[in-house]
Parts: sequence; structure tokens; C-alpha cells
Amino acid sequence: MKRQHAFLFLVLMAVTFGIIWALSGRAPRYHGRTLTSWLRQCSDSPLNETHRLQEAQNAIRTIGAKEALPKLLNLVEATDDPVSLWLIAKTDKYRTRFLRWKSSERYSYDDWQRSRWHSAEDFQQLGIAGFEVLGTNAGTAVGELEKLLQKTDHTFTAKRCLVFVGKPAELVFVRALTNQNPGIRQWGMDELAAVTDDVEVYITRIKDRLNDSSEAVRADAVDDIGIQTTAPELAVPLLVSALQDGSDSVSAHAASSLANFGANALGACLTLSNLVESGGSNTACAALKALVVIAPNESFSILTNCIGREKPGINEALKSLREVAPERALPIILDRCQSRDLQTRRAAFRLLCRYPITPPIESALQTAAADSDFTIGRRAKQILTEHYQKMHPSDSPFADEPSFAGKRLGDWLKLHDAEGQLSQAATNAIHHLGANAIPALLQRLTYSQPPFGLRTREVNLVRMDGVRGLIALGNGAVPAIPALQALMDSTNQDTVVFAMVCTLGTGTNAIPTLIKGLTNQFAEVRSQAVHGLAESIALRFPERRQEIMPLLANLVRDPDPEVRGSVKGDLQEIDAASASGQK
Amino acid sequence: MNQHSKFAGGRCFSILAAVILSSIRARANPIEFPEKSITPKISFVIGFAILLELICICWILRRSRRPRFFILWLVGLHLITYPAFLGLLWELVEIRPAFAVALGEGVAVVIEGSLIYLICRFVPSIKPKPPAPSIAKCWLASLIGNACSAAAFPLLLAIFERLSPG
Repeated sequence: MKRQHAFLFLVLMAVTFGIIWALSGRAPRYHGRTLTSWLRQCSDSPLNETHRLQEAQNAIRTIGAKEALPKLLNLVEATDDPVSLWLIAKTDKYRTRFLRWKSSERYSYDDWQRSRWHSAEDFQQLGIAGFEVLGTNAGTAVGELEKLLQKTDHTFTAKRCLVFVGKPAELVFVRALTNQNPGIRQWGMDELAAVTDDVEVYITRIKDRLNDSSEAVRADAVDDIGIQTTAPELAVPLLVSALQDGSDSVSAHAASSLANFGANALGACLTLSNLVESGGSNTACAALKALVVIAPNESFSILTNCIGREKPGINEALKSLREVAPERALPIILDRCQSRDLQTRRAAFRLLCRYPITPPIESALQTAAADSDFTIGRRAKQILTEHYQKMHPSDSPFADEPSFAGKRLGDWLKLHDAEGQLSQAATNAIHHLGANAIPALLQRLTYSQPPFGLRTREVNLVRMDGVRGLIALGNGAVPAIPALQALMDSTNQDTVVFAMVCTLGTGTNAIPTLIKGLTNQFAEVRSQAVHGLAESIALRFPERRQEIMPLLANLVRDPDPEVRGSVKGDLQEIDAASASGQK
Repeated sequence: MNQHSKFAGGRCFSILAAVILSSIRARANPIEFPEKSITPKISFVIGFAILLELICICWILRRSRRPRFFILWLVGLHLITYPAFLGLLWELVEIRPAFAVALGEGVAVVIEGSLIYLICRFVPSIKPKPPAPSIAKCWLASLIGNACSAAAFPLLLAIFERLSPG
């Protein structure tokens, strides 16, 4: 019996030590925290929390590659199993797994992040974070990472880790060029560029991919060679041969890439000229564009010929020509601005906008301002307005405005808060200016930007200054009411609304203007008039309710639903106010 | 013998009461955000799974010496071991969930089996005739009971989800 008790004691001890071993175990630590904990801090910290991020990165570097790598590899190798996935799903759903004898006030989202079950992807992300921190110091892990490349579930993670390892993974990238997975071959080519110092070596390594079985890999190889502009003697012949690729896409990539070499690719002109005529649609467009860049003068006749025949890709070619030889491109662009075809006109106009404004350009823009296409017309007007302002910087439309305490009216009108409420000092100044301010305020109310009277944000700000000033004048704005009533006949909805709102500071003097607004053609004006009569008159001057209520009631049958809704709401509000007043 | 029995009964009752009361005070899931409190429904599923485990253990040890109200002893036992199991899972959060639960269940089997052995051996029985179970038998009972409970839990949860969608 004693032996059995001793055995039981031993088992319990073994279990206890087993738990302690499992919990505290062999995990590398720094400042009492496990590597996983530091990795989580590193992975979870936003980039703007530099101190927190730096602290975690320093901790991981201090733990060192030798200690950390086994754990990091373990993390990136993590795989999901059905039981774990089920547990994650259910505990996320019910969140009932945890037992914590601590105050709930101290429980934060971070706590939850730390304490929830983690999927394989979470662990892999931690591993990636570790490799990012260790960089080239994690070079000894490239063998294991290369093996992971072959596992579909881990390819992405392995790629990321290898990229962070960098130079020590160079041979892995080289071997990736012949991997059976086209995605890995493409990735290998791209990453090899970052770790190969010599451009000649790089091109030699990847040039075989120009004959790859995958079209995507061939196109990628063309692109990668196409950006090696420091070695035209190696790259151009390869790209010229790629022009003959059976795939239209690859040939087009090759043609586009040749454009990167400019005059160094002159030798490709003949082939490109042929491709303009005989290549596939993508190749022909790219070849024309490349020709224009490589030899703008020599290719001009080809371009005009293509324009004459309305071949596709003209706009792109023209864009390139404008960059390399703007003077040669201008006549064509101006001509195409007159095209009947809207798309052609728009494309030409976009190019025209990039020219500095000279008399012929200004003339073309004036024509474009009257274009039947709204987009072209609007943009042309904007450009001409900006140009006008640049040419007339000192032309202020409010030169004659009055001043108070050394400040002009315009300066006082700028003294308002974010909600548009004028400061007390500004209100006092405007009161002091009184009727003298009215002409300048009315001028603001009808302000439009020369030469086209465009309604821009700046115009709206100036008009709002006028509204604010007239409201601030209060009863002082009464002399302005005839002018405001005249503005009520405007065909511009905003002008009518602004004019009507300006009278609200004058109390009951505003009633005729507001009543006029009730029959305006614009629903928005009618709605604002209803609101103005209800809020600013009926609620503030109960003695005028008798007069106003029937007028408002008429609009209950307004054709516009928003006006009807506004009337009903305001009538209810007046009823409620009347009832509380009677009580 | 009688005196000893009375003393043992009183002591056991105090332990059981302390366990139950401490468990109430512990409030097994006091976390408000973003943790959900344990709903009565999910508590029922957990409780039912544990009950199934207890029935298995009682059935396996039916021919062995057991204290009176053995099932209540087992309930009391689980008031310690189940929160401890959850606490252990909390600490194992950094490892794969399946492995953590397997480890937790393994530890629970060994500890519960050992405690059952101690209960059967040292708490006075109403029928002293049958022999006390061996430690191996207690571990086996705990293993089978926990296996039944672990297997039943997903099934019960599925039924629960079907009956109360959303």
C-alpha cells in the first residue's frame, strides 16, 4: 500500500513539474518576458508607437538569432488542425474559456488579444515579425525556409521571411527561378534584384526566364530586365528578342520596356516600326509609344500616319511625345482638341492642360471653355480663372469697403468660429459700421469669380461672409431689404436662399421676404422660407402667429415631399410652443 | 471508529462548503469587455458534459468502495479542477489550441484520478466491504469520464446551436 502511495506521489510530482516545464519551459526570454510576448508586441504595435516598437525590436535582437530562430521557425511552420480551428471558432463565438480573478475594469482589448486562442496564421505572423527584426542575422534559417516554400500553406510566409533575411537568401532566390511554381519563379526574379549587386550577374541569372513556359513569368522577366537601364548593351538585345515572343502581352511588355532605354534602344526602331503595323493590338500600341520616346523626330511620320488611320494607342503615344518633344506634339494635340469624338477631345484636352499657358494655349482653352462637354468646359474655365487670378493679383473686388478700428470689413468678417459664429468684437465692429457696411456686404452676396463667374469654394466663402455680416447687422440691415428682395427673383437657387437668410436678423421686417420665398420655384427655397417663418418669426413673435399659420398651412399640399415634411414638423413645433405658452 | 467517522464527515463537509463558497466568490467569468459572461445556456452544456463525466466515473467505480454521496464529492472535486483546467488553458494560450486542450485534459485526468483515489480511500464509506479502487482504476475511470465529456461537449454544443440559432 505504501508503495502505491509513493507511486501516486511520484506521478503527482511529475505532473506538477510537467506543468511548470510546459508553462515556463525553454522559451527564450528577455527581461522576464518570453520571445513570443516580445514578438506579439512587435507585431501588434502600430508604426507610430515607435518607442513600443523599438523596445520589442531591441528585445528580440538581444535574445539573438541563435536563441530565437528555433522558436521563429516553429512559429512560421504552424499549421491549422481541425480541432484547433473548431476551438478558435467556438471560443471566439462564446468567449467563455477564460477564468480570471481580477478586476474587470483592468480588462482591456489588449488583454483579450493576448489571451485569445491563436490560429496558425497568427503564429506565422509572429514568426514573420521576428525575421523582419533579425534580418540578415537569421541567415542560418534559409534552408528551413526554402523547404517551407514548397508547402502551399506556407509559401507566403516563407517568401516574406526570406525577403527579410535578404542577402543570405540569395541562393534560395536563384534556385526559386527554376521552381515548378510560376508564382515562386516570378517572386525569385523580383527578390533577386534586391540582393544581386551586379547588374550583369542579375541579367545573366534571369535571362533564361524569357523562355519560360509561363507567359506571366516571361512578362515579369521582360519587366525586370527592362528596368536595368544602366546596362543597355545587355538588356536591349534581350528585349528586342522578346519583341518576337508569341504572346502579345509579353511583346507589349518588351516594347514598353525598350522605351525606358530612350536613345540607347535606337537599334530596336526597325523592329518596333514593323510591330506598329503587324503586331498584336497591345504590342502595336506599346511599339508606337516606345518609338515616339526612342526617336521622336524619326517616328513623327509614323505617328501622323497612325493618327490618319485612327489606329489605337494614339493617345498614349501622344502623351509620350508631349513628354519628350512637347513642341512637336502641340499641333497634333490642338488639332485633336477639335475632334468630334468626345474621348479623343478629352484625351487631347488633358494633354493640353499640361502645357504652360501661352497665347495659343490660352486661345485653345478659351475654345475649350465653351465645349459642349461639361468636364472639358469646367476644367478649362478653372484653369483660365486661376490664370486670370495670377495675372491680376492686386484686383480686389472689395477695394472700397469701410474700416473700423484700423481693420477693414473683410478682416472683421473672417473673425468667426468653426460654426460660422462671428466673434463679439467682429459683431460690435459691424454694428458700428452699420449702414456703411451694407453695399460691401451686398457685393459679397453676389460675388462671382472673373472671368467666368465660376462658383468655387472661395466664392462660397465670400458669399457666406456677406450673409454673416448682414445677419450680424440685425435691424441695421433693414435698408438692405429692398435689394435682398430683388435678389429673391434670381434664377440661381443659392443666391435666393442667401438673400432670404440675410433678412433673418431683421426680426419681423423679414416677413415679406420670407413670404415671397414660400412661392419660389425652388423647393429648397420654399423649405427654408417655411423654416425661417416658423423658427425666426412664429416662435419668437407669438403675436404674428395668426398671420403666419395659414400661409404655412397652404404648403402642406406642396408638390415637394421635403417641403411638406418641413411644414408639418414646423407646424407641430409651433403647436407645441402655443400649448406650453397657454399653460 | 465512530468518533473518527464523525470527525471525518464534518471535515469533509467543511471542505466541500469551502470549495463551493470560494467558487461562488471567484465568479468564474468576471470579465465584462469584450468577454461575454457565461450564459445559462452554455453553462448548461458545460454542466451537462461534466455530469456525464461524473456518471461514467460512478458507473466504473460502482463495485469499489466509495463514500456516501460520491457524486457530490465528484461535483465538489470539479469545482476545483474545472476552474483549474480553464486557468491552465489560459496559461497555455501561446501554444496551438488543440495541443493546449489535450495537455490540459491529460493533466485533469491524472489529477482528478488521483483525487478520486484519495476520496475513495480516505473518506469513510457506508459499505466498508468492497475493496478500495486501485490508483490505476481511478485514472482509468477519470480517463473514460473525461473522454466521454470531451466527446459529448461538441455534440451538445451542436444541439444547443441548432435549438437556439443566433
